[in-house]
Amino acid sequence: MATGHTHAVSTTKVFVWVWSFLVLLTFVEVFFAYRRMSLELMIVILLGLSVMKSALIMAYFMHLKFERLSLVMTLIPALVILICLMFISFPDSVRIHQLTPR
Amino acid sequence: MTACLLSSSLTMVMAVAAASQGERKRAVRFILLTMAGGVLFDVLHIHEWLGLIHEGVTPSSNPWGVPLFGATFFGLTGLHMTHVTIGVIYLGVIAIGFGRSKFSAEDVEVSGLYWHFVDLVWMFILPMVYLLSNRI
Repeated sequence: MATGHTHAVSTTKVFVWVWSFLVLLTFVEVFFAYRRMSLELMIVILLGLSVMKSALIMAYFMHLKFERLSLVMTLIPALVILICLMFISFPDSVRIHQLTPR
Repeated sequence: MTACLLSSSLTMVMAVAAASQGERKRAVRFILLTMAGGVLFDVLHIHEWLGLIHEGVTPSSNPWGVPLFGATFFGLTGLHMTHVTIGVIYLGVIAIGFGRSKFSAEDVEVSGLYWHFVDLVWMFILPMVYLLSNRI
């Protein structure tokens, strides 16, 4: 848990700035959603912006930025590994046509 | 809907800050504002669901494209809406408990973490379900 001192550091002004930035990033996402571009590029841009937004929420609203480095080093790699594990069966989709009985 | 959730995250973080400074009334007021954001999100979401159902989109059908969209849309947004609803109830319990000095500032902080998590999930549902759906 964060200490009282760290809470004092993250003032109302910082929270409002973060919120404004989150709203701005949402508008940027909507702007890109209506642009003509390849689907792959759009997925990369939209997911990249979403990762930025979630990082801001975790860092400031969930006060991960003000926590001990050891906690950050425990949580972030675990999250990355978890996401990788979710996609562990993804390569199977490439050979799904060969697996279909004829 | 995104504005509701983002704004409710801001009020929640204000509630946590007020609670940690021992300002109980202010914290409870901010928690109530957060709950209002959650309820407004649910109302807008149900309105959207009813509109889509009226147009013929169900978990097994989609008049505009692949039927799987209906299942994915209702599955993802339904689970998220359930979490928001549970969050509103959770925050209500915390607001009452904290107002009566039965819960500590740490309890408010933990409920805040839950609420931000719900907001965080929406940050991925918005592009994957809403913004990309017109391209598939």
